Amino acid sequence: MIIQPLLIAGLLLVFIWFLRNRNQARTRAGKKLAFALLVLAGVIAVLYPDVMNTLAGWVGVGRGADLLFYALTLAFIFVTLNIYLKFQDHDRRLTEIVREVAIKEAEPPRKKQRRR
Amino acid sequence: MSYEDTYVIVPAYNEASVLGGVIKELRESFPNVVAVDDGSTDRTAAVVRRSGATLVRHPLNLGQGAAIQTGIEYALKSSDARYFVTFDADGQHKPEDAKRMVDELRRDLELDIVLGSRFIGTTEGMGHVKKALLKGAVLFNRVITGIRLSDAHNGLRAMRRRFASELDMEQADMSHASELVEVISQQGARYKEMPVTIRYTDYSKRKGQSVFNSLNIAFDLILAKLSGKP
Repeated sequence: MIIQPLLIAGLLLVFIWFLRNRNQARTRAGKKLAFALLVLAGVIAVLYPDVMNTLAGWVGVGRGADLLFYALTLAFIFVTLNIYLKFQDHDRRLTEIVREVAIKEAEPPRKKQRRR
Repeated sequence: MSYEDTYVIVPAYNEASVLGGVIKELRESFPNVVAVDDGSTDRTAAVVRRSGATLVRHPLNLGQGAAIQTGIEYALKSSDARYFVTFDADGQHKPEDAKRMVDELRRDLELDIVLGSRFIGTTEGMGHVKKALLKGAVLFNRVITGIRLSDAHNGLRAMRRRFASELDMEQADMSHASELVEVISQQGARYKEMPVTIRYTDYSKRKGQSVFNSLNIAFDLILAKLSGKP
């Protein structure tokens, strides 16, 4: 079945490409474009349900609903990873600001306690 | 010998019950101690204020790696100290070991960093699981970075200013130990291991890392490798 290598390759490609490019403007633009395409595909699938079945037939999946399920699985993994990485970035920024505050408000020992 | 030119960084998270004693013992040899209170919810900060050490306080808990990085950055900014020591807050290290490590940096000018190792030293009361786990971490570091160390996660280290100022640890949690090894590997830094004694008290065992955390560490490091970060 051709669907298997397709799904696996798609997964790996998206994963690696995304890790490497996550903060570039092109990636952000890519995400918006992908979203627009998704909406468009959704509209087409709703207007012409048979399109999904035809597509499924092309890649060797039984029904259009199954194809949708596989695509959704891919999308879910993608989103999960996206959120995980986003959190990591936020953690990094949080660390920077906490460190800044900590250093600014450091309390050196009072003079009399200092040993010389 | 005087250790005026050395800053000792002690990352502390909820260590109020032991930290005072640890700092007191340290300050018998090291006049400059910086305790980084990593957002503790107990009286850690109050203990530090009374101890004669500098208090640097994270407004919220970030993790040990972040605390060490903060302490080093503070010490770099506020002094021109030549040597920087990291020292665990739970009382598992001995100040004499830290002194020997700084002495080694003074003696061998080529060295960038000296790392404590519990496997070429004496260990008091380590469990079997812990031992196996640490061996695993050593192997992991070796595969990922190509650096052969006998102990992957020892909190006692002494480094020269030059090395400290290039340190920019991003892993906030315990992964920083492996991250440090990676920095050594990438910079081609000169390192050396020295035997240190670890006191495994019931307290330090209770506070120590959970076995499962090593999986977290491995996962984050592999992810960092895949994303091609420097």
